[in-house]
Amino acid sequence: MSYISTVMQAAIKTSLRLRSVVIVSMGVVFICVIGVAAIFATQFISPGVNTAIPDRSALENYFGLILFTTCFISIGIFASVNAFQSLTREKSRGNIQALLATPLAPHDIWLGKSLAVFLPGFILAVVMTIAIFLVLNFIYFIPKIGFFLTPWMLISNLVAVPLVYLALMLLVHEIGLAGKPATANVITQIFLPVMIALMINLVVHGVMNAGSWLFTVALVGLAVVISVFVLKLRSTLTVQKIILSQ
Amino acid sequence: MSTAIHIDNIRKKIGAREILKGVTFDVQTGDIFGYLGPNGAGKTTTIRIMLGLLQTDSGELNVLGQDIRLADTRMKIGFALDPDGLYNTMTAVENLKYYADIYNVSGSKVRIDKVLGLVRLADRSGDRVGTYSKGMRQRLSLARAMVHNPEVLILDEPTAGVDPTGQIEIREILLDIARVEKKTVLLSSHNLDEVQRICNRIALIDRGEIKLYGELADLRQKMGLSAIVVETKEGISDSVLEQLKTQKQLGLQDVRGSTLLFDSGEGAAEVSDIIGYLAGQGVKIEKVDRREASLEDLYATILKEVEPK
Repeated sequence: MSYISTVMQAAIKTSLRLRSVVIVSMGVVFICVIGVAAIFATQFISPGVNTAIPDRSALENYFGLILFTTCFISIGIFASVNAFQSLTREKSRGNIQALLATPLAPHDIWLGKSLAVFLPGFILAVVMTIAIFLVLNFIYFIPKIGFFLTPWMLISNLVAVPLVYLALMLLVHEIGLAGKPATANVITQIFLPVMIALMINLVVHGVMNAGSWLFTVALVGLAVVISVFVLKLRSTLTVQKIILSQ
Repeated sequence: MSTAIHIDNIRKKIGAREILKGVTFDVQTGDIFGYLGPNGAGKTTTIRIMLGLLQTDSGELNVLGQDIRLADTRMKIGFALDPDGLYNTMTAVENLKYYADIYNVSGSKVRIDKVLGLVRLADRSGDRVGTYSKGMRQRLSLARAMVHNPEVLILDEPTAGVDPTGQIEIREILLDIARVEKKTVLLSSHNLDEVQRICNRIALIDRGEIKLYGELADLRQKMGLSAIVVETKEGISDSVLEQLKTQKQLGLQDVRGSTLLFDSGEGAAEVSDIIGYLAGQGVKIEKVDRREASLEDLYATILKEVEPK
């Protein structure tokens, strides 16, 4: 455990010192999150709360969707940028090879690097989601219908989405370490827009309510599916495979 | 003297290509061992195997009598690889602290200060490694290799890409490490001059096979590349040459124009005997010299012998 923590701390330190990368990814996160939240809020929340008898289920759905996209974009952009940095750069510069020549096991490096990419994204996502949640409550809900919150919204965004990304980070680091970092990067880059589009479509077309338990279960189910791939690929993570894939 | 690194008949295939074809050599405790060979000969693969980064297909390898796959064995080995794997956004101290934590070094601050002093980087210890020159990076790699006070150092091309002044500095540091810190050092290199200056034993690998292995002084002798060189004023006649060839005790090696080469070293004729004989035959002598074969001669001779016809 201490080895994993050592690797994680060093990886967080190095990635946060690449100021341009941090500033650009934070900037993109802010623009995307605020843009998406503003569009959904003016299109759906504002008309919803201004009707004579607000439909709480519809409000729950759209508010849940806003929080989901906020959380998913925040963690997704930050994680994909940092996963790219962490895997491609460190492999080509020999950092991974040097670490493998120490008493560290491949699994220490894999878990340490994955957590180092996941944790800052997770913290950013939590901060952004809570911020958007409070802002929308103060602007739209509190003046009309009072403080608006369902427990499933919280669980979906503060637990389920992070679980999906934790599993994804473990998977892409596994693939990136034992195989080509480019493959891992493609997966992280594609995952974010595909998942956002899929979930928005499911919610907008009434298949699931974004504030319901079903939405949370769907996200947890996705995390479980990714985790199954992680476990299946675990045996590929050998020192020799990592070295020969450089 | 005990064996620090034991490699016996190691074979390694990567894909369809057999990289190592039965490599065998030992590095003794206290050696500065040069591992030489042209590009693609198998040096880096051997080093990766010694560090547990690659597995062997067959053969035996142990470091300090232990299996390299054990974490305990790796604790006793320091390494410098190419690429160096240093973190550009960290300072020298932070890079070393990271590895000191991995190796669980107690009192790491004192040790880090000591190794930075050893590699002459104490004044730049707070600078980010991204601002370092190639020579400074190589020295920091050596410091990293030393941070946990290992018994054996395995260094892949420690002076590659470094300017001549930097190379001298690294050579001095390596000698300090070996003599003062009493470490066993194995270094791979293309730099024959460097190996000649600091190594006591060498192995030469080409196309996955060890072509030459042993004490540098013995190898020079064995290869017959050391010689007594006699330059004559007008050359020698065919009849004198024929007679000279019959004088086996003088050990004529070769005739190159007006220059005669005789065996040197143990059991060879004295210079005075050679000069006396030639003078007796009326040969006018211009200059007499003793030539020590350089490692470059050895290298060229061996690689020429294995050149495909």
